[in-house]
Amino acid sequence: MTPAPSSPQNDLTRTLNRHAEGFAELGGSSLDLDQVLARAGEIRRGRRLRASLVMAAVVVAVAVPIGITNLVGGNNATDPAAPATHGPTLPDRPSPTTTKARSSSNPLLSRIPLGAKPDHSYVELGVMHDVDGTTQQLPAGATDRLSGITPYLGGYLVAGAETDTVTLYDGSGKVVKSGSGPGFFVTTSDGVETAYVMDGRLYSNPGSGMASGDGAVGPISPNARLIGYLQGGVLYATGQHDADGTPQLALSGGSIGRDLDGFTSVNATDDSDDLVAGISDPAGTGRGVGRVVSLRTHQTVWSSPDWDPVSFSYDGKYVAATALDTDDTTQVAILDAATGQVVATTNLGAKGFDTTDTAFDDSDNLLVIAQQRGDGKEAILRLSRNGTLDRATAVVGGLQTDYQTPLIIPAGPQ
Amino acid sequence: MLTTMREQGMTEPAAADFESWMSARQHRLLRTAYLLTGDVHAAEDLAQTALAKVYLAWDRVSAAQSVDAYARRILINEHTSAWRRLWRHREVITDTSSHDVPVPAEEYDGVTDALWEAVRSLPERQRAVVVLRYYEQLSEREAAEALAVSVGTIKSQSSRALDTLRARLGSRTDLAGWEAHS
Repeated sequence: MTPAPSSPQNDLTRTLNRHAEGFAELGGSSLDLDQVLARAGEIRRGRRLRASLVMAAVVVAVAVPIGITNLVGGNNATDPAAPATHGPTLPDRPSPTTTKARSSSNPLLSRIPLGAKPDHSYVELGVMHDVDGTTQQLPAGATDRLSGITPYLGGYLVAGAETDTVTLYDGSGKVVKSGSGPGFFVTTSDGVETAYVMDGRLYSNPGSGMASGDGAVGPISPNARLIGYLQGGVLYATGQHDADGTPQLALSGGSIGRDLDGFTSVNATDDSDDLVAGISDPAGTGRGVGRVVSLRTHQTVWSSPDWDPVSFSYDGKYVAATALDTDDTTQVAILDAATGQVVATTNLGAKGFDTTDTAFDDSDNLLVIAQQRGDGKEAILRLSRNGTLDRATAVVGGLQTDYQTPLIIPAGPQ
Repeated sequence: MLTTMREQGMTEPAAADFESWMSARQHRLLRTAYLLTGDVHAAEDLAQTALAKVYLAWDRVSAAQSVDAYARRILINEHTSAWRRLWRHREVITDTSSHDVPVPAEEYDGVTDALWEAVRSLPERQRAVVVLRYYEQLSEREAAEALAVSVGTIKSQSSRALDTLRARLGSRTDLAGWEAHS
Protein backbone atom coordinates (compact mmCIF):
# COMPACT_ATOMS: atom_id res chain seq x y z
CA MET A 1 0.00 0.00 0.00
CA THR A 2 1.29 3.44 -0.88
CA PRO A 3 1.73 5.51 2.24
CA ALA A 4 -0.28 8.69 2.49
CA PRO A 5 1.70 11.72 1.32
CA SER A 6 3.33 13.72 4.07
CA SER A 7 1.21 16.56 5.33
CA PRO A 8 0.52 17.77 8.85
CA GLN A 9 -2.86 16.08 8.85
CA ASN A 10 -1.54 12.79 7.53
CA ASP A 11 1.41 12.93 9.90
CA LEU A 12 -1.00 13.36 12.78
CA THR A 13 -3.17 10.45 11.71
CA ARG A 14 -0.12 8.23 11.24
CA THR A 15 1.34 9.22 14.59
CA LEU A 16 -1.87 8.76 16.53
CA ASN A 17 -2.54 5.40 14.91
CA ARG A 18 0.95 4.16 15.74
CA HIS A 19 0.73 5.17 19.36
CA ALA A 20 -2.78 3.81 19.74
CA GLU A 21 -1.61 0.49 18.32
CA GLY A 22 1.44 0.59 20.54
CA PHE A 23 -0.80 1.09 23.51
CA ALA A 24 -3.03 -1.79 22.48
CA GLU A 25 -0.18 -4.19 21.79
CA LEU A 26 2.17 -3.39 24.61
CA GLY A 27 0.42 -1.57 27.35
CA GLY A 28 -3.30 -1.43 26.85
CA SER A 29 -5.04 -4.11 28.79
CA SER A 30 -8.58 -5.23 28.30
CA LEU A 31 -11.07 -4.01 30.80
CA ASP A 32 -12.83 -6.59 32.83
CA LEU A 33 -16.60 -6.46 32.99
CA ASP A 34 -16.33 -6.97 36.75
CA GLN A 35 -14.30 -3.80 37.04
CA VAL A 36 -16.80 -1.84 34.98
CA LEU A 37 -19.72 -3.12 37.04
CA ALA A 38 -17.86 -2.31 40.23
CA ARG A 39 -17.27 1.23 39.03
CA ALA A 40 -20.92 1.50 38.07
CA GLY A 41 -21.82 0.33 41.54
CA GLU A 42 -19.59 2.96 43.11
CA ILE A 43 -21.25 5.65 41.07
CA ARG A 44 -24.71 4.35 41.81
CA ARG A 45 -24.06 3.89 45.53
CA GLY A 46 -22.70 7.39 45.73
CA ARG A 47 -25.85 8.74 44.18
CA ARG A 48 -28.15 6.68 46.37
CA LEU A 49 -26.41 7.46 49.61
CA ARG A 50 -26.46 11.13 48.95
CA ALA A 51 -30.00 10.95 47.66
CA SER A 52 -31.45 9.31 50.74
CA LEU A 53 -29.84 11.75 53.11
CA VAL A 54 -30.43 14.74 50.95
CA MET A 55 -34.14 14.22 50.68
CA ALA A 56 -34.44 14.21 54.43
CA ALA A 57 -32.44 17.39 54.57
CA VAL A 58 -34.57 19.20 52.09
CA VAL A 59 -37.56 18.94 54.39
CA VAL A 60 -35.87 21.44 56.65
CA ALA A 61 -34.99 23.67 53.76
CA VAL A 62 -34.40 27.28 54.45
CA ALA A 63 -35.50 30.18 52.30
CA VAL A 64 -34.81 29.86 48.58
CA PRO A 65 -31.75 27.83 47.73
CA ILE A 66 -29.62 29.19 44.97
CA GLY A 67 -26.23 28.86 43.38
CA ILE A 68 -24.50 32.05 42.36
CA THR A 69 -27.70 33.75 41.39
CA ASN A 70 -28.61 37.24 40.59
CA LEU A 71 -30.63 37.61 43.77
CA VAL A 72 -28.57 40.22 45.52
CA GLY A 73 -28.70 39.93 49.26
CA GLY A 74 -27.01 41.28 52.32
CA ASN A 75 -23.31 40.87 52.62
CA ASN A 76 -22.36 38.83 55.61
CA ALA A 77 -18.73 39.57 56.10
CA THR A 78 -18.14 36.88 58.68
CA ASP A 79 -15.46 34.30 58.00
CA PRO A 80 -16.86 32.05 55.30
CA ALA A 81 -14.70 29.29 56.58
CA ALA A 82 -17.11 28.90 59.46
CA PRO A 83 -20.63 29.06 58.05
CA ALA A 84 -23.71 28.44 60.15
CA THR A 85 -24.69 24.95 59.10
CA HIS A 86 -28.28 23.96 59.64
CA GLY A 87 -28.53 21.03 57.29
CA PRO A 88 -27.25 17.54 57.94
CA THR A 89 -23.89 16.53 56.60
CA LEU A 90 -23.34 13.59 54.33
CA PRO A 91 -20.97 10.98 55.65
CA ASP A 92 -19.28 10.40 52.31
CA ARG A 93 -18.32 13.98 51.79
CA PRO A 94 -16.43 16.38 54.02
CA SER A 95 -18.53 18.61 56.17
CA PRO A 96 -17.83 22.33 56.20
CA THR A 97 -16.05 21.74 59.49
CA THR A 98 -13.79 19.05 58.15
CA THR A 99 -13.06 20.95 54.98
CA LYS A 100 -12.10 23.91 57.06
CA ALA A 101 -9.65 21.78 58.95
CA ARG A 102 -8.16 20.37 55.76
CA SER A 103 -7.94 23.75 54.16
CA SER A 104 -5.57 24.97 56.80
CA SER A 105 -2.70 23.18 55.06
CA ASN A 106 -3.51 24.68 51.70
CA PRO A 107 -0.41 26.44 50.44
CA LEU A 108 -1.70 28.55 47.54
CA LEU A 109 -5.32 29.58 47.62
CA SER A 110 -5.02 30.22 51.30
CA ARG A 111 -2.36 32.84 50.58
CA ILE A 112 -4.94 34.96 48.83
CA PRO A 113 -6.40 37.29 51.43
CA LEU A 114 -9.84 36.37 52.66
CA GLY A 115 -12.38 39.09 52.03
CA ALA A 116 -16.12 39.39 52.40
CA LYS A 117 -18.45 36.60 51.41
CA PRO A 118 -20.06 36.81 47.99
CA ASP A 119 -23.14 38.98 47.71
CA HIS A 120 -24.84 35.96 46.21
CA SER A 121 -25.66 32.55 47.49
CA TYR A 122 -23.28 29.88 46.30
CA VAL A 123 -22.76 26.15 46.26
CA GLU A 124 -19.76 24.26 47.51
CA LEU A 125 -19.40 20.54 48.01
CA GLY A 126 -23.08 20.02 47.43
CA VAL A 127 -24.15 22.51 50.07
CA MET A 128 -25.92 25.74 49.23
CA HIS A 129 -24.80 28.74 51.24
CA ASP A 130 -27.37 31.48 51.45
CA VAL A 131 -26.40 35.10 51.89
CA ASP A 132 -27.81 35.08 55.41
CA GLY A 133 -25.24 32.48 56.45
CA THR A 134 -27.57 29.50 56.49
CA THR A 135 -26.80 26.37 54.53
CA GLN A 136 -28.81 23.66 52.89
CA GLN A 137 -27.86 20.32 51.40
CA LEU A 138 -28.58 20.00 47.71
CA PRO A 139 -31.41 17.72 46.72
CA ALA A 140 -31.13 14.28 45.23
CA GLY A 141 -29.88 14.12 41.70
CA ALA A 142 -27.87 17.27 42.10
CA THR A 143 -24.88 15.80 43.83
CA ASP A 144 -22.92 14.53 40.86
CA ARG A 145 -21.57 17.18 38.56
CA LEU A 146 -24.24 19.73 39.12
CA SER A 147 -24.36 21.96 36.10
CA GLY A 148 -27.02 24.47 36.98
CA ILE A 149 -29.27 25.60 39.79
CA THR A 150 -31.59 28.56 39.98
CA PRO A 151 -34.63 29.71 41.95
CA TYR A 152 -37.88 29.00 40.20
CA LEU A 153 -41.52 29.33 41.21
CA GLY A 154 -40.73 29.40 44.90
CA GLY A 155 -38.56 26.32 44.61
CA TYR A 156 -35.63 25.69 42.38
CA LEU A 157 -34.48 24.10 39.18
CA VAL A 158 -31.52 21.76 39.24
CA ALA A 159 -29.64 20.39 36.24
CA GLY A 160 -27.32 17.43 36.43
CA ALA A 161 -24.63 17.19 33.79
CA GLU A 162 -24.14 13.52 34.50
CA THR A 163 -27.64 12.53 33.60
CA ASP A 164 -28.69 15.40 31.32
CA THR A 165 -31.74 15.83 33.49
CA VAL A 166 -33.52 18.92 34.74
CA THR A 167 -35.60 18.67 37.89
CA LEU A 168 -37.99 21.21 39.36
CA TYR A 169 -38.33 21.12 43.14
CA ASP A 170 -40.82 23.05 45.20
CA GLY A 171 -39.79 25.01 48.27
CA SER A 172 -40.00 21.94 50.49
CA GLY A 173 -37.70 19.89 48.32
CA LYS A 174 -40.42 17.80 46.72
CA VAL A 175 -39.91 16.94 43.07
CA VAL A 176 -42.51 18.74 41.00
CA LYS A 177 -41.34 17.35 37.69
CA SER A 178 -38.23 16.03 36.04
CA GLY A 179 -37.18 15.41 32.49
CA SER A 180 -34.30 15.44 30.08
CA GLY A 181 -32.68 18.69 29.20
CA PRO A 182 -29.40 20.53 28.97
CA GLY A 183 -27.98 22.23 32.03
CA PHE A 184 -28.41 25.70 30.63
CA PHE A 185 -30.65 28.09 32.50
CA VAL A 186 -30.82 31.74 31.66
CA THR A 187 -32.07 34.40 34.02
CA THR A 188 -32.66 38.09 33.66
CA SER A 189 -30.32 40.16 35.77
CA ASP A 190 -33.10 41.14 38.16
CA GLY A 191 -33.94 37.48 38.74
CA VAL A 192 -37.50 37.96 37.57
CA GLU A 193 -37.45 35.65 34.57
CA THR A 194 -35.83 32.26 34.20
CA ALA A 195 -35.90 30.01 31.17
CA TYR A 196 -35.05 26.33 30.84
CA VAL A 197 -35.58 23.37 28.54
CA MET A 198 -37.19 20.11 29.57
CA ASP A 199 -38.24 17.22 27.36
CA GLY A 200 -38.01 19.29 24.21
CA ARG A 201 -40.01 22.25 25.46
CA LEU A 202 -38.84 25.73 26.36
CA TYR A 203 -40.20 27.19 29.59
CA SER A 204 -39.90 30.76 30.77
CA ASN A 205 -41.46 32.06 33.93
CA PRO A 206 -40.78 34.23 36.95
CA GLY A 207 -37.84 32.83 38.78
CA SER A 208 -38.96 34.16 42.14
CA GLY A 209 -42.34 34.49 43.74
CA MET A 210 -45.18 32.05 43.46
CA ALA A 211 -46.55 32.62 39.99
CA SER A 212 -49.05 30.11 38.75
CA GLY A 213 -48.27 27.94 35.78
CA ASP A 214 -44.93 27.01 34.41
CA GLY A 215 -44.59 29.39 31.51
CA ALA A 216 -44.39 26.87 28.70
CA VAL A 217 -43.29 28.69 25.57
CA GLY A 218 -43.26 25.92 23.04
CA PRO A 219 -41.29 23.08 21.50
CA ILE A 220 -37.56 23.45 21.11
CA SER A 221 -34.79 21.23 19.85
CA PRO A 222 -33.38 19.00 22.58
CA ASN A 223 -29.95 20.16 21.41
CA ALA A 224 -30.80 23.82 21.87
CA ARG A 225 -28.49 25.97 23.97
CA LEU A 226 -30.06 28.90 25.74
CA ILE A 227 -28.04 32.12 25.52
CA GLY A 228 -30.04 34.83 27.23
CA TYR A 229 -33.11 37.01 27.28
CA LEU A 230 -33.43 39.42 24.43
CA GLN A 231 -36.27 41.72 23.43
CA GLY A 232 -38.80 39.87 25.54
CA GLY A 233 -37.88 36.45 24.23
CA VAL A 234 -35.19 33.88 24.81
CA LEU A 235 -32.26 33.81 22.40
CA TYR A 236 -30.95 30.33 21.78
CA ALA A 237 -28.75 28.35 19.43
CA THR A 238 -30.89 25.73 17.79
CA GLY A 239 -28.18 23.10 17.69
CA GLN A 240 -28.23 23.22 13.90
CA HIS A 241 -25.54 24.78 11.76
CA ASP A 242 -25.44 26.32 8.35
CA ALA A 243 -23.33 24.76 5.64
CA ASP A 244 -20.41 26.98 6.60
CA GLY A 245 -20.60 25.88 10.20
CA THR A 246 -22.35 28.99 11.48
CA PRO A 247 -24.72 28.12 14.32
CA GLN A 248 -28.37 28.84 13.70
CA LEU A 249 -29.91 31.19 16.23
CA ALA A 250 -33.55 31.70 17.11
CA LEU A 251 -35.55 34.01 19.36
CA SER A 252 -38.64 32.66 21.07
CA GLY A 253 -41.66 34.75 20.26
CA GLY A 254 -39.80 36.88 17.76
CA SER A 255 -37.27 36.93 15.04
CA ILE A 256 -33.73 38.14 14.82
CA GLY A 257 -32.41 40.13 11.92
CA ARG A 258 -29.03 40.04 10.30
CA ASP A 259 -27.20 41.65 13.19
CA LEU A 260 -26.01 38.36 14.54
CA ASP A 261 -24.71 37.09 11.23
CA GLY A 262 -21.08 36.14 11.35
CA PHE A 263 -21.05 34.86 14.90
CA THR A 264 -19.53 31.41 15.20
CA SER A 265 -20.85 31.26 18.73
CA VAL A 266 -22.98 33.60 20.83
CA ASN A 267 -22.33 33.72 24.55
CA ALA A 268 -24.48 36.33 26.22
CA THR A 269 -27.01 39.13 26.00
CA ASP A 270 -27.23 42.18 28.19
CA ASP A 271 -30.38 43.36 29.88
CA SER A 272 -30.91 46.45 27.77
CA ASP A 273 -32.11 44.38 24.82
CA ASP A 274 -29.22 45.86 22.92
CA LEU A 275 -25.87 44.11 23.27
CA VAL A 276 -24.97 40.58 22.25
CA ALA A 277 -21.53 39.07 22.80
CA GLY A 278 -19.79 36.12 21.24
CA ILE A 279 -17.11 34.96 18.86
CA SER A 280 -16.83 35.82 15.20
CA ASP A 281 -14.51 34.66 12.49
CA PRO A 282 -14.66 37.53 10.00
CA ALA A 283 -11.64 36.44 8.01
CA GLY A 284 -12.72 32.81 7.85
CA THR A 285 -9.35 31.74 9.17
CA GLY A 286 -10.65 29.57 11.95
CA ARG A 287 -9.28 32.05 14.45
CA GLY A 288 -12.05 33.66 16.38
CA VAL A 289 -12.25 37.19 17.69
CA GLY A 290 -14.38 38.36 20.56
CA ARG A 291 -17.18 40.62 19.38
CA VAL A 292 -20.01 42.68 20.86
CA VAL A 293 -22.76 43.95 18.59
CA SER A 294 -25.52 46.47 19.18
CA LEU A 295 -28.97 45.55 17.95
CA ARG A 296 -30.00 49.19 18.18
CA THR A 297 -27.31 50.60 15.96
CA HIS A 298 -26.80 47.41 13.94
CA GLN A 299 -23.09 47.93 14.42
CA THR A 300 -20.24 45.98 15.90
CA VAL A 301 -19.48 47.84 19.14
CA TRP A 302 -16.03 46.35 19.41
CA SER A 303 -14.08 43.25 18.56
CA SER A 304 -10.93 41.86 20.09
CA PRO A 305 -8.42 39.21 19.06
CA ASP A 306 -7.54 38.73 22.72
CA TRP A 307 -10.75 38.22 24.66
CA ASP A 308 -13.78 35.94 24.57
CA PRO A 309 -16.68 37.88 26.17
CA VAL A 310 -18.73 35.45 28.25
CA SER A 311 -21.26 37.46 30.29
CA PHE A 312 -22.43 41.00 30.96
CA SER A 313 -22.53 42.66 34.34
CA TYR A 314 -25.95 43.35 35.79
CA ASP A 315 -25.86 46.99 34.75
CA GLY A 316 -24.57 46.09 31.30
CA LYS A 317 -21.50 48.31 31.67
CA TYR A 318 -18.94 45.53 31.92
CA VAL A 319 -18.20 42.18 30.35
CA ALA A 320 -16.51 39.19 31.91
CA ALA A 321 -14.04 37.69 29.46
CA THR A 322 -11.52 34.90 29.23
CA ALA A 323 -8.41 34.94 27.12
CA LEU A 324 -8.77 33.73 23.55
CA ASP A 325 -5.15 32.82 23.13
CA THR A 326 -5.00 30.34 25.96
CA ASP A 327 -6.99 27.18 25.87
CA ASP A 328 -7.62 26.77 29.54
CA THR A 329 -9.29 30.14 30.09
CA THR A 330 -7.22 30.83 33.16
CA GLN A 331 -6.73 34.48 32.25
CA VAL A 332 -9.87 36.32 33.26
CA ALA A 333 -10.76 39.97 32.75
CA ILE A 334 -13.40 42.58 33.34
CA LEU A 335 -13.82 44.59 30.14
CA ASP A 336 -15.61 47.84 29.46
CA ALA A 337 -18.70 46.73 27.56
CA ALA A 338 -18.73 49.88 25.44
CA THR A 339 -15.12 49.77 24.32
CA GLY A 340 -13.70 46.33 25.04
CA GLN A 341 -10.89 47.95 27.04
CA VAL A 342 -9.49 45.90 29.90
CA VAL A 343 -10.61 47.26 33.25
CA ALA A 344 -9.04 44.56 35.40
CA THR A 345 -7.45 41.20 34.76
CA THR A 346 -5.81 38.30 36.52
CA ASN A 347 -3.93 35.31 35.20
CA LEU A 348 -4.99 32.44 37.40
CA GLY A 349 -2.88 29.92 35.50
CA ALA A 350 0.25 31.83 36.42
CA LYS A 351 -0.82 31.56 40.05
CA GLY A 352 -1.22 27.78 39.81
CA PHE A 353 -4.99 27.63 39.41
CA ASP A 354 -7.49 26.42 36.88
CA THR A 355 -10.87 28.03 36.67
CA THR A 356 -14.20 26.50 35.81
CA ASP A 357 -16.57 29.42 35.76
CA THR A 358 -17.16 33.08 36.40
CA ALA A 359 -20.16 35.17 37.45
CA PHE A 360 -20.56 38.81 38.32
CA ASP A 361 -21.16 39.33 42.01
CA ASP A 362 -22.17 42.91 41.38
CA SER A 363 -21.06 45.27 38.68
CA ASP A 364 -17.83 46.02 40.51
CA ASN A 365 -16.74 42.48 41.22
CA LEU A 366 -16.36 39.30 39.26
CA LEU A 367 -16.46 35.96 41.05
CA VAL A 368 -14.16 33.29 39.70
CA ILE A 369 -14.08 29.66 40.69
CA ALA A 370 -10.45 28.73 41.18
CA GLN A 371 -9.20 25.19 41.43
CA GLN A 372 -5.72 24.63 42.73
CA ARG A 373 -3.53 22.54 40.48
CA GLY A 374 -2.02 19.54 42.17
CA ASP A 375 -4.53 18.85 44.89
CA GLY A 376 -7.78 20.12 43.40
CA LYS A 377 -8.74 22.35 46.32
CA GLU A 378 -11.12 25.11 45.37
CA ALA A 379 -12.33 28.50 46.43
CA ILE A 380 -14.27 31.39 45.00
CA LEU A 381 -12.08 34.35 44.23
CA ARG A 382 -13.21 37.90 43.58
CA LEU A 383 -11.62 40.14 40.97
CA SER A 384 -12.56 43.73 41.56
CA ARG A 385 -12.69 46.53 39.03
CA ASN A 386 -9.77 48.15 40.80
CA GLY A 387 -7.70 45.06 40.02
CA THR A 388 -7.54 43.55 43.48
CA LEU A 389 -7.99 39.83 43.93
CA ASP A 390 -9.28 38.39 47.16
CA ARG A 391 -10.89 35.19 48.32
CA ALA A 392 -14.62 35.13 48.97
CA THR A 393 -14.95 31.67 50.50
CA ALA A 394 -13.01 29.11 52.43
CA VAL A 395 -10.66 26.72 50.63
CA VAL A 396 -12.45 23.40 50.35
CA GLY A 397 -12.59 20.16 48.44
CA GLY A 398 -9.61 18.46 47.00
CA LEU A 399 -8.86 14.94 45.98
CA GLN A 400 -11.09 13.41 48.59
CA THR A 401 -14.13 14.87 46.92
CA ASP A 402 -14.15 12.86 43.71
CA TYR A 403 -17.69 12.12 42.60
CA GLN A 404 -18.82 15.28 44.28
CA THR A 405 -20.20 18.37 42.70
CA PRO A 406 -18.06 21.24 41.55
CA LEU A 407 -17.58 23.93 44.09
CA ILE A 408 -19.99 26.44 42.75
CA ILE A 409 -22.42 26.82 39.88
CA PRO A 410 -23.60 30.18 38.65
CA ALA A 411 -27.25 30.32 37.79
CA GLY A 412 -27.16 33.25 35.43
CA PRO A 413 -26.26 33.26 31.75
CA GLN A 414 -23.38 30.87 31.17
CA MET B 1 -21.94 -11.86 35.67
CA LEU B 2 -25.42 -11.66 34.27
CA THR B 3 -26.66 -12.27 37.79
CA THR B 4 -24.78 -9.22 39.01
CA MET B 5 -26.17 -7.16 36.20
CA ARG B 6 -29.69 -8.37 36.87
CA GLU B 7 -29.22 -7.50 40.52
CA GLN B 8 -28.38 -4.00 39.41
CA GLY B 9 -31.67 -3.75 37.61
CA MET B 10 -30.74 -4.80 34.11
CA THR B 11 -32.79 -7.37 32.24
CA GLU B 12 -30.99 -10.46 30.96
CA PRO B 13 -31.23 -9.52 27.28
CA ALA B 14 -30.03 -6.01 28.07
CA ALA B 15 -27.14 -7.37 30.13
CA ALA B 16 -26.12 -9.63 27.28
CA ASP B 17 -26.37 -6.73 24.86
CA PHE B 18 -24.18 -4.53 27.01
CA GLU B 19 -21.58 -7.23 27.51
CA SER B 20 -21.46 -7.87 23.80
CA TRP B 21 -21.20 -4.19 22.98
CA MET B 22 -18.50 -3.63 25.56
CA SER B 23 -16.51 -6.58 24.31
CA ALA B 24 -16.60 -5.21 20.78
CA ARG B 25 -15.97 -1.55 21.56
CA GLN B 26 -13.82 -1.30 24.63
CA HIS B 27 -10.54 -1.53 22.75
CA ARG B 28 -11.38 1.44 20.57
CA LEU B 29 -12.47 3.41 23.61
CA LEU B 30 -9.28 2.48 25.43
CA ARG B 31 -7.12 3.63 22.55
CA THR B 32 -8.95 6.92 22.28
CA ALA B 33 -8.67 7.33 26.04
CA TYR B 34 -4.95 6.70 25.81
CA LEU B 35 -4.51 9.30 23.10
CA LEU B 36 -6.49 11.78 25.18
CA THR B 37 -4.62 11.17 28.41
CA GLY B 38 -1.21 9.96 27.22
CA ASP B 39 -1.09 7.66 30.21
CA VAL B 40 -1.93 3.96 30.44
CA HIS B 41 -3.45 4.00 33.89
CA ALA B 42 -5.36 7.20 33.34
CA ALA B 43 -6.66 5.81 30.05
CA GLU B 44 -7.88 2.61 31.70
CA ASP B 45 -9.52 4.57 34.45
CA LEU B 46 -11.14 6.96 32.01
CA ALA B 47 -12.46 4.18 29.78
CA GLN B 48 -13.68 2.20 32.76
CA THR B 49 -15.65 5.14 34.08
CA ALA B 50 -17.09 5.89 30.66
CA LEU B 51 -18.16 2.28 30.23
CA ALA B 52 -19.70 2.26 33.70
CA LYS B 53 -21.77 5.30 32.83
CA VAL B 54 -22.85 3.78 29.55
CA TYR B 55 -23.87 0.71 31.55
CA LEU B 56 -25.90 2.79 33.99
CA ALA B 57 -27.65 4.52 31.11
CA TRP B 58 -27.91 1.42 28.93
CA ASP B 59 -31.69 1.16 28.90
CA ARG B 60 -31.90 4.73 27.67
CA VAL B 61 -28.99 4.87 25.25
CA SER B 62 -29.21 1.41 23.75
CA ALA B 63 -32.36 2.50 21.99
CA ALA B 64 -30.51 5.45 20.49
CA GLN B 65 -29.08 5.31 17.03
CA SER B 66 -25.45 5.30 18.06
CA VAL B 67 -24.29 3.94 21.38
CA ASP B 68 -20.75 4.43 20.14
CA ALA B 69 -21.25 8.16 19.74
CA TYR B 70 -22.81 8.35 23.19
CA ALA B 71 -19.91 6.44 24.71
CA ARG B 72 -17.41 8.69 22.96
CA ARG B 73 -19.18 11.75 24.27
CA ILE B 74 -19.14 10.39 27.80
CA LEU B 75 -15.46 9.63 27.42
CA ILE B 76 -14.72 13.17 26.24
CA ASN B 77 -16.91 14.72 28.92
CA GLU B 78 -15.19 12.72 31.60
CA HIS B 79 -11.80 13.68 30.28
CA THR B 80 -12.49 17.38 30.06
CA SER B 81 -14.47 17.77 33.25
CA ALA B 82 -13.07 19.22 36.39
CA TRP B 83 -13.59 15.86 38.01
CA ARG B 84 -11.19 14.29 35.60
CA ARG B 85 -8.60 16.94 36.35
CA LEU B 86 -8.81 16.07 40.01
CA TRP B 87 -8.46 12.40 39.30
CA ARG B 88 -5.42 12.87 37.11
CA HIS B 89 -3.80 15.08 39.70
CA ARG B 90 -4.18 12.26 42.17
CA GLU B 91 -2.58 9.82 39.77
CA VAL B 92 0.36 12.14 39.45
CA ILE B 93 0.68 12.58 43.17
CA THR B 94 0.51 8.92 44.06
CA ASP B 95 2.71 7.60 41.28
CA THR B 96 5.17 9.78 39.49
CA SER B 97 6.53 7.03 37.25
CA SER B 98 5.84 7.27 33.55
CA HIS B 99 2.97 5.22 32.18
CA ASP B 100 3.70 6.06 28.58
CA VAL B 101 3.75 3.19 26.18
CA PRO B 102 6.82 2.60 24.05
CA VAL B 103 6.18 2.19 20.39
CA PRO B 104 7.52 -1.16 19.13
CA ALA B 105 11.12 -0.90 18.00
CA GLU B 106 10.29 -1.75 14.44
CA GLU B 107 7.73 1.01 14.50
CA TYR B 108 10.01 3.60 16.05
CA ASP B 109 10.12 6.73 14.04
CA GLY B 110 11.72 9.90 15.28
CA VAL B 111 9.20 11.98 13.45
CA THR B 112 6.12 10.43 14.99
CA ASP B 113 7.83 10.34 18.35
CA ALA B 114 8.48 14.07 18.24
CA LEU B 115 5.00 14.71 16.97
CA TRP B 116 3.46 12.54 19.68
CA GLU B 117 5.35 14.43 22.35
CA ALA B 118 4.11 17.68 20.87
CA VAL B 119 0.53 16.38 20.76
CA ARG B 120 0.76 15.31 24.38
CA SER B 121 1.79 18.80 25.35
CA LEU B 122 -1.23 20.42 23.71
CA PRO B 123 -3.88 21.98 25.94
CA GLU B 124 -6.66 19.58 26.78
CA ARG B 125 -9.32 20.78 24.38
CA GLN B 126 -6.94 21.16 21.47
CA ARG B 127 -5.67 17.64 22.04
CA ALA B 128 -9.24 16.34 22.15
CA VAL B 129 -10.00 18.01 18.83
CA VAL B 130 -6.85 16.56 17.29
CA VAL B 131 -7.72 13.06 18.49
CA LEU B 132 -11.29 13.27 17.26
CA ARG B 133 -10.38 14.73 13.89
CA TYR B 134 -7.21 12.82 13.05
CA TYR B 135 -7.58 9.55 14.93
CA GLU B 136 -11.32 9.03 15.13
CA GLN B 137 -11.57 10.65 11.70
CA LEU B 138 -14.67 12.57 12.67
CA SER B 139 -15.91 15.41 10.52
CA GLU B 140 -15.89 18.89 11.99
CA ARG B 141 -19.59 18.59 12.67
CA GLU B 142 -19.25 15.18 14.31
CA ALA B 143 -16.40 16.45 16.46
CA ALA B 144 -18.50 19.46 17.41
CA GLU B 145 -21.30 17.19 18.53
CA ALA B 146 -18.91 15.00 20.51
CA LEU B 147 -17.48 18.01 22.31
CA ALA B 148 -20.80 19.86 22.52
CA VAL B 149 -19.34 22.95 20.90
CA SER B 150 -19.90 24.75 17.62
CA VAL B 151 -18.24 23.82 14.36
CA GLY B 152 -16.52 27.19 14.53
CA THR B 153 -14.93 26.22 17.82
CA ILE B 154 -13.68 22.99 16.31
CA LYS B 155 -12.17 24.95 13.45
CA SER B 156 -10.49 27.45 15.71
CA GLN B 157 -9.23 24.81 18.15
CA SER B 158 -7.91 22.69 15.31
CA SER B 159 -6.19 25.68 13.76
CA ARG B 160 -4.63 26.64 17.06
CA ALA B 161 -3.48 23.09 17.66
CA LEU B 162 -1.77 22.92 14.29
CA ASP B 163 -0.16 26.30 14.90
CA THR B 164 1.09 25.13 18.26
CA LEU B 165 2.49 21.96 16.76
CA ARG B 166 4.13 23.92 13.94
CA ALA B 167 5.76 26.20 16.46
CA ARG B 168 7.17 23.23 18.31
CA LEU B 169 8.20 21.18 15.31
CA GLY B 170 9.04 23.83 12.75
CA SER B 171 12.78 23.58 13.31
CA ARG B 172 12.85 19.92 12.29
CA THR B 173 14.04 19.52 8.74
CA ASP B 174 12.64 15.98 8.54
CA LEU B 175 9.06 17.19 8.95
CA ALA B 176 7.81 18.60 5.69
CA GLY B 177 4.83 20.89 5.96
CA TRP B 178 5.38 21.76 9.60
CA GLU B 179 7.23 24.99 9.00
CA ALA B 180 6.02 27.65 11.39
CA HIS B 181 3.99 30.37 9.74
CA SER B 182 5.69 33.71 9.74
